Amino acid sequence: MREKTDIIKDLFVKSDRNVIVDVSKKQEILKCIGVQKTEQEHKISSWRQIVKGQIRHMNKNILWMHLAVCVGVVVLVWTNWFDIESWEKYGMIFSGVLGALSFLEVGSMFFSKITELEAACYFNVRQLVTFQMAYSGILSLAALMIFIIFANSRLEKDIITTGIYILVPFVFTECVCMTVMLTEIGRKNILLLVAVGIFSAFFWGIFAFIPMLYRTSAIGFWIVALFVGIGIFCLQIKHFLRVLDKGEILCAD
Amino acid sequence: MINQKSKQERVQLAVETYYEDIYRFCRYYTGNPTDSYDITQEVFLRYLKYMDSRGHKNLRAYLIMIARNLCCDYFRRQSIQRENTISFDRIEDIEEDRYSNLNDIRTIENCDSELYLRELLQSIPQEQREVVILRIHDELKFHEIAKITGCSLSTTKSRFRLGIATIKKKIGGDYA
Repeated sequence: MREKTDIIKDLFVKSDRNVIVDVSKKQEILKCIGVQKTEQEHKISSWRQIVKGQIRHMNKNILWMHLAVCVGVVVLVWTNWFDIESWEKYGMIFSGVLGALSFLEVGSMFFSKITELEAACYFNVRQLVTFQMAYSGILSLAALMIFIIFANSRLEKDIITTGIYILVPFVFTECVCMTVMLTEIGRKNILLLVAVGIFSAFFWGIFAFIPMLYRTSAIGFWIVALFVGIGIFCLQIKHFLRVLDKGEILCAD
Repeated sequence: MINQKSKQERVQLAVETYYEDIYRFCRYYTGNPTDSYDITQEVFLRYLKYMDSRGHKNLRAYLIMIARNLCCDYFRRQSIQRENTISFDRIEDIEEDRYSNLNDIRTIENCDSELYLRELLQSIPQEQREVVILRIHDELKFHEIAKITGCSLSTTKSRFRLGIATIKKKIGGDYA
């Protein structure tokens, strides 16, 4: 192996001698750097106009899909479409699906020309990703909250217990999706996130039908699971934003 | 103001020190000299943008990581599979260089080496090519390459072995 790598090394050395770097290109970049710093020093006048502009120009396809699913969940609940006694099971399935869908919006940033948007916009990638995660999370949690309040009002279920049953699948789906997003393969192919969503729906659909899970004695495990899930998710977000800041993950297409 | 100026100076120093290394990496990776200049420029502009984040222990490896990511995006944008071919424009450039100085045997030999090396590199998949370039040309350690490519250490070593084996077969076949 060493002999063959020496031959290849030798080829690289000879080839390097032939690769003459154009000095004018180097000078060009040094000028560019000067121009970039000057542009960054310019002050922006109106925050409202900037935010309005960003919202107008951002890709909203997955947002519409997400909204449609949230509205669909709420409508199904209010029209008693499913067997009301199985509310926990359906709640868990919806929760898993919404968790994956809200993450799909963040994941889409890696597939939809975010660099062009970032180059044209005031906010950096970190701010764009944070904003995207925040509003998609809020949408999903709002839909789930309506579900929980409905269960409390119609079925007289304890709101905290209901909340824990519903939030645990959401948080764990988010953790799995974030794990996928932190891998190179996950960021290259959006279908992987879609697969996670489908898997999550099936997993929680099966898991939710185990009757022992809803005993009063099991609530302690649910609480621990919720806090562990939130803890893991927070650490993952921290790591994700840190590598985004360092430029180790580039949202480019 | 002083902080801005020192940042600018740091980037300029990085350009002076690492421009050639980054350009050569991009050129071997993409096989396209013109696009390699654009990608190299983009690498330093991104470095300027991300400078405020935590410091980097190995600046060269960090710049190569940005270059590698940009090269991957280059291929995605192009959405073409890199095959065992070289663009005709480049062949004409090399031919022109070759015939402009027929007496310089070293230049001709180097041109042939460049073409041959490019053929060898384009004959292996992209994942293996990047590891071979980073290991042999840029002399990075395997754990550094694993960090750049986002793979495990064993995957990186495996890709290197496979890449070298394919190149070895081709070299052996050519010299048979």
